[in-house]
Amino acid sequence: MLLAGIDVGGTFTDLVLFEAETGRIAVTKVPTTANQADGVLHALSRLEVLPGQLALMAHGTTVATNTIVQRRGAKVALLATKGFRDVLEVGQTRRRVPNTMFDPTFRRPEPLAPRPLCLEVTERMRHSGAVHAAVEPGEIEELAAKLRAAQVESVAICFLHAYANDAHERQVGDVLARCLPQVFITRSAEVVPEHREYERCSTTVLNAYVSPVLARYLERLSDTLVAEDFSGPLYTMSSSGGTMTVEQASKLGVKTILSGPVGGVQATIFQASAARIPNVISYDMGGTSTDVALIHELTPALSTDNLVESYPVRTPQVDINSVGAGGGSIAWLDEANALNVGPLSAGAMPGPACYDRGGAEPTVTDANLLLGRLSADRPLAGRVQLRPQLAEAALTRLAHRMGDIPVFHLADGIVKLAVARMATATRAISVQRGYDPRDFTLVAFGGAGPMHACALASELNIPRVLVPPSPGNFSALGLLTSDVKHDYVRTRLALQRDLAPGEIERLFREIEERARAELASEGFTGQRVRLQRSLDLRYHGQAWEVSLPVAAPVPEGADLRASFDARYASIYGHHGELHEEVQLVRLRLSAYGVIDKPTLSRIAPNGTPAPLDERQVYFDGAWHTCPVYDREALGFGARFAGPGIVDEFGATTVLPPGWEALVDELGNLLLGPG
Amino acid sequence: MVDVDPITLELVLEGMIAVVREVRAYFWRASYSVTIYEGQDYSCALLDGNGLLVAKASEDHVLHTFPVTYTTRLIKEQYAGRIAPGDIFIHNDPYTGGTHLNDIAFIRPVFLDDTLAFFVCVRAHSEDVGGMSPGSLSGNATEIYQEGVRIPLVKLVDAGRLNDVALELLLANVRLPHRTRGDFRAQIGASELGERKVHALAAKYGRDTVLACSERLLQRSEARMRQAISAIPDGSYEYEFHLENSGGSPEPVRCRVSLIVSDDTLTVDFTGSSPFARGPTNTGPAMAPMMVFTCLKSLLDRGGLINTGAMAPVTVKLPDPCYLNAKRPTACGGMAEATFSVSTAMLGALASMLPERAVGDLKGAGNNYYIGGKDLTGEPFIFYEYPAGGTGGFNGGDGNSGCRHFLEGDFGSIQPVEVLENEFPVFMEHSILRVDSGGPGTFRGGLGLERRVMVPIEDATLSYITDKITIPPFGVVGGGSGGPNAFGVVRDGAESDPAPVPGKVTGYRLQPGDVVFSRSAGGGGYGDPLEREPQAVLRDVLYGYVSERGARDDYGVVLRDGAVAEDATRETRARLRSSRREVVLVHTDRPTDIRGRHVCYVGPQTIVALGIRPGDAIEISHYEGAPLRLWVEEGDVHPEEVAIDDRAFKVLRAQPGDRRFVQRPRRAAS
Repeated sequence: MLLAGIDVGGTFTDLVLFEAETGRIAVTKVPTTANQADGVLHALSRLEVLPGQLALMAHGTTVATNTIVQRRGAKVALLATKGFRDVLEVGQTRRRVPNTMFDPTFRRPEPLAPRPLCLEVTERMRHSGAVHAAVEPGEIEELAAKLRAAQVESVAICFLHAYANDAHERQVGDVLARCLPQVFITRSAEVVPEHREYERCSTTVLNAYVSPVLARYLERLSDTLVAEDFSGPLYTMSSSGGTMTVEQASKLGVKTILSGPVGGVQATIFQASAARIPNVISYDMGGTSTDVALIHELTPALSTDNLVESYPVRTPQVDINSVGAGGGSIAWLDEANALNVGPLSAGAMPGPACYDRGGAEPTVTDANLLLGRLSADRPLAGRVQLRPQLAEAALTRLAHRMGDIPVFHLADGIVKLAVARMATATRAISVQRGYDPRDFTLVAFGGAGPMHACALASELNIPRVLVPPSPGNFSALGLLTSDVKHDYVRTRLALQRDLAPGEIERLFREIEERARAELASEGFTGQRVRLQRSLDLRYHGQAWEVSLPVAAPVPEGADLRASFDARYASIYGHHGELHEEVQLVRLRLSAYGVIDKPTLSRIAPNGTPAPLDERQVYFDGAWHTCPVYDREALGFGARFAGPGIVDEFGATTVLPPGWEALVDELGNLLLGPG
Repeated sequence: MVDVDPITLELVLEGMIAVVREVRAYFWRASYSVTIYEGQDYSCALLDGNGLLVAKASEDHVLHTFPVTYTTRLIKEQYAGRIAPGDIFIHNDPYTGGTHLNDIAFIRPVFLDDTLAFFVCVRAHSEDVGGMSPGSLSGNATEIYQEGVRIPLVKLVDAGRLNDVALELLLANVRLPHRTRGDFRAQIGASELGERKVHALAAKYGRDTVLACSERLLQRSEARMRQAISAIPDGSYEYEFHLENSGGSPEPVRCRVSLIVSDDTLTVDFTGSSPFARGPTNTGPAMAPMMVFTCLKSLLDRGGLINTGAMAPVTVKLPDPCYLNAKRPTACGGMAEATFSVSTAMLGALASMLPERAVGDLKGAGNNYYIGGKDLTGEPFIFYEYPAGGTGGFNGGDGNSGCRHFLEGDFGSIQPVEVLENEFPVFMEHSILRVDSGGPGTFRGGLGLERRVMVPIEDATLSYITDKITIPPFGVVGGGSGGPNAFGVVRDGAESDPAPVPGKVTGYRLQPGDVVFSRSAGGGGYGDPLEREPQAVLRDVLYGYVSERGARDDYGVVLRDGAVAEDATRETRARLRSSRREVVLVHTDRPTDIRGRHVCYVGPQTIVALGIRPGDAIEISHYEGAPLRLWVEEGDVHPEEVAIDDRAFKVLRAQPGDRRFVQRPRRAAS
């Protein structure tokens, strides 16, 4: 049985193929094509596999994100409660774009539903769920005519207090669905039934904006595969660390915004679990950016306080911190002649100067090439022949503008600055959240991750680095290790003392019934269903909630209070006083449809690695003669001391002086200070 | 000093910011007050051994961190020779560099070997510091004793030994001693962490290198600011702004500023500003320089680091007495209004200094309003907002509508409707952008926001503090004013401002069913509105930002069947242009400072023609800066003339005999 994980990025399409019977894994990388389905077929043919042979395909896609970044989404109308159409534009009066204080020329990004298409509906719910003003049926048909005339492709309905009672949203949605059968309609209570109207509205409008585009893409991909005899399920990675069916993803496109990056986190969890290392930080460094995420006890931190392009997204997402530092990041001088690295990237075109594709600005990759960390002989990803003289010329020009500082010193500085920026991003998800990096292992992957991992680990006192096999294609592995996941949420604002005994349990059972039905319709029943409950709670008077995972049956009374106090204290260092009442805000359920996971194969022992080659590598002001190892030839138990280089297809691992490397039986490189 | 290479400099800078971020995160986690862990009303900073601000994180407020330099200077003066490792100083006294009493700074000197190398500062807004009302701030305060405990510079920890007497004395005078104690403990812990991290930084890069880097970073900001100033022609640029009243007295509070450029230095002189205000709209000596810094940074050198090196070429002169240089026992709780008066005056003066970089004026006031009472279960509640307005138009773009502006941190200033209706017994009727409230201009100001809250319960009270009600935010370079702030009550269908002096009310008793309205000001426009692209005006109308009437009257754009009527627009624009009232400016020797107001003299015919009354304000145009607003006194002046004093000529950069337009400051329709 063959399973395929496909990560469709902006530049490359990565394929991981897993053969269940043998545990064999095969990987390849092809350029992403305009019709992304073509690239997928191309990648399969590269590994000589026909779609008809696949039992399952899971893919990560950047369609939703690119749609937002490039503002190429559907033409969206918003239907809002009368008197509140500006909720979207005003956005709680915040700017939401970093570093905009001191900037009188800042212009807030335009809402994705333009104001003339933000229409008001006569209706009003109360926070209790009671109807304050009913919908006037005739008005909706008039609105439908208006929307038709405006050639709207997608409609977001977001009414005040719909999390408490969505009857009006349903009523209006039903009329519109009847009047406008070709138009995509999404309701806030379906997307994210939580209070705080701006965040819910923003999430719903984003969903209206991206879903039709994602649906068209998935339909095309699915049709193409079916035409080639593929008959298994096609899953799409969601932002919250599970997969979705085509049908789900087409309706809830907003949940795929992190579809690409989450694959790497899922792969990290899988690899860390197999290596029995429960606390890890995933570190994915590519050409333009670096993604880091903290995984404690094999569980990634989730966040509902997310922004995409300054628009809030309240659906849960794996808490990935992204920073504009990658191999292609450009080194430049600002007005005060201060050296900066990134966030501007040379990307794949023109690429770093050494690619010889017309790029003239020095990048992190050029610096690494000059320092001997990248091989000048071995083509990058098997194809791009690097030209050190072009890298040197670009760096020399910059060094000249800095008062002719030594060019190798500059190259070393560029790499150090990139590492410093990644360290800042990593501190934000570890130290600043109360975790000590010394308790974690850094799992490094992506084209550039293994090259900078030891430097980053040193910066943060992280004692160990794990470089998985095939780090360049590692993210795609995560697609094969993720279960189907649905996230449910139900808002119930009430003080703990006002809840009826058994009420929370009853509400959870209602949600679970719905979850089981949905999973059953997707083919998951019995042992293949896994449910995980949590409560959002706070002390009365606070603005924000803390999520508390709970088992079934849900604890009540003093037990619930004690669990919440403990959870709160673990985050804030202290808990509320006895007189501070606990307030329930909402119930959450994650429902998983469990799939069969790959089993990683063990590699053969070979404790005495023989260097393939050696080259001169610059570390901290001096050149060192470094043995160069071939990753393929390293067996279980291989052990060697730094300085050293490990070359393989798609990545280079740099082991600085004073570090040691060990290969485990899964083929992971484990690196630590000697 | 050791030589620092440019790469090490950047790495040490990143390291210093990392120190500040870790201190921030520690304090946030360990604090006990909701204002801190929910409201993030706190800041941390790293200062050098001379007490200059070197590094802060982007989340740290300049309003909190800039004034710390006054405190560190005080430490060095008062404790010269008696500063030791393990000391912690605390301070909140506005008169010697504090903000308002609620903001308490904890400052720890950090020694590298024997050198006093840095100070780590954690400044946080305490929920209550005592005084006459819960939360300590009150619009009715007339003396600082009513606003809580004043902490002069106190060494709370002496070489590691806590001064229990000082601590208990303080805690005995606040309403939430448990939380305050918890916050203090967190501030002490955070400053210790900061010290350890600075030591680690020095161990990694070497003491001398870190010290040299700190100096270089300050020099870099200084060099950038000097370069920016030297690009400006030498001369004096002036402006003035009046807070409409103060503490129950209808007399305005004047902020008068002169920016004097000489080569690469700048003197910011507040001579001519009002003496102490009777109410709380006073600030200590740190706040006007703080706002000067923020405005200069924004208009002269937006990029680069935020550190006080940029202030080296700038001298700020505060007169004495002055509401910006408060002395015992004036109240200082209205710091926001006092500080924003400085920003308005600064933006006006900067507009004539750099017309191409000018930006329309902002809402000004803090706009705080409170509805308090008891909910249905008898529990007391306070509903509190401070709605943002529109931001100013600028050369190249329109302002933002209902948005925090560039001199403020990025916080939500209104509550989610779904939160407030769950938490408080109130009902939000609507929350909409105010049509036509953006100052007209080639580039339009952003729109203000209108909210209407119905209060169904008995015995609720309303308080608010706002300003710019009668004199709206100005436009620049020929742009029009934004709609003014307006707060009040709708009762039986009629609107009123129940305040004894406009915009300031404390504890007004509401009747069940009263609707409280808040209207925040729109931003001022940039450039002549008759020059705005007609297509942009059409879009504004389609988007509902401008009414069809506004398009015709303010922009001279006539629309027909959803399109611009070209001929009618041309004619309307020509007619509007020729109907502007142009006058000749003449000099007057008569008194021009009457009851705190800066006045001009106008003939009776002109008063009639402008549709105003004596005592109203008029606006005299300044197409290469900001218009001047003066109060009108009737005088024996030729109908074609307006008589103004020397100061007014300076603000307008005009000579007697020059011709300018006059008009009433525009009021928004809704």
